[in-house]
Amino acid sequence: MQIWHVLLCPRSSVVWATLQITIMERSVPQCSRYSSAGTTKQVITYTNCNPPQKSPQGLRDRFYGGWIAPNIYYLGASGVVTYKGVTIAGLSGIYKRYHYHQGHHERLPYTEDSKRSIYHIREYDVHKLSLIDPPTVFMSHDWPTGIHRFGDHVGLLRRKAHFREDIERGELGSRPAEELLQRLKPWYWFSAHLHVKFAAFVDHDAVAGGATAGGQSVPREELGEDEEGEIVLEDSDEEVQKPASPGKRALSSSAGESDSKRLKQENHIADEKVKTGRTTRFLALDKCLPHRDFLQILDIDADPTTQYSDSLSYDPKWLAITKTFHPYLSTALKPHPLPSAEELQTYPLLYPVNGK
Amino acid sequence: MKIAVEGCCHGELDAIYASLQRLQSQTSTTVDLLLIGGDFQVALIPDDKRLIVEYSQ
Repeated sequence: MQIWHVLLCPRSSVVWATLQITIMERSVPQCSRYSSAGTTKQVITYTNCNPPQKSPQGLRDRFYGGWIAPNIYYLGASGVVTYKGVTIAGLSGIYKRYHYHQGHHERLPYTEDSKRSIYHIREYDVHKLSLIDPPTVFMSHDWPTGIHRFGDHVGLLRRKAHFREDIERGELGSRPAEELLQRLKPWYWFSAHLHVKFAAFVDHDAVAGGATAGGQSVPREELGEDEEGEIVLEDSDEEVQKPASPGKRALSSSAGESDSKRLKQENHIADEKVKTGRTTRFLALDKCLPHRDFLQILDIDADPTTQYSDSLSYDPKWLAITKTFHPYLSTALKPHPLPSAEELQTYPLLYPVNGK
Repeated sequence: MKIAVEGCCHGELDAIYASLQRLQSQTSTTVDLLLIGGDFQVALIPDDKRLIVEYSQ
């Protein structure tokens, strides 16, 4: 089997020098090597988030993304790729308000501060992503703020009581990610970071109709477990023997036939909503440990408007955005001002004249 | 298209691959793409383009 990987990596650019020392101090058997004989076909890793002590420099060298191993592709600080008609966008890093408006100023040798700030997202990358067409999948390392309202937040707080304070302050997650969610309305949104599985279903039409500026939570009975019915198959390592959760459409389904029919109907209704582009299925997963929900497989249809290719491909509009914004990329603490919407209208790459 | 999604990696590529292999054989499914949500925690070896996983203590 060969699978490709796409990574979202915020945490991978850590200080290379530091890491080298760490590796040298360890015996060879402690290290695993991944060569071209790798196990999966294609892995997109947007590696996000970073424990500061890891190794960011390797990924900083690939600011715009790229292959970090034969089958492992890193999406970059922000990035968009397509594969078999599915568009995947990602934002690497976590949100910290006090670093958000800075340039990408970190450079070797890193200080204790810059070792951490290098993993924090910047307005530059979020602004670029705000200009893309709605992708099929969006990945962010930390959760969009407010997403808890669209899932079983009571159950979430039961499992993670210490989230309550951040939720009440509106700080559980990333505010820029929430704005991207509201703007782009992707079909799927995947996150990690908080080390707990959580699913949510956002009906953007209901949010828009709910009047309040920050969006309004959809009644739980419309969300709750039902959104998980879209998950075709579930696995969480040692969890195979566990019965499927309610509302979940497991491949090796243990649900009764009537349950299956009901779920099928519910899924059908939800599917129709998704095809309008006005709903988003959110799924956050745990970290890779035994008995934890860290892995899930979904069946995602290709978007007919996306060019189909069996190879991992660049998204043309993203390339245009990247080229247009490259002159505005700042490596200083105080970044260059970003172009206004009016200025952007004059950029032929983004807005071709006469459709050319 | 079958897409596998994984949360934080924490250098556990071996364990993730093993789980994915087992899941695929149990369900007779072939996954096209694996998405990893961050905390990759690997080091690049610039010369040979390989990755070394740094195991957390």
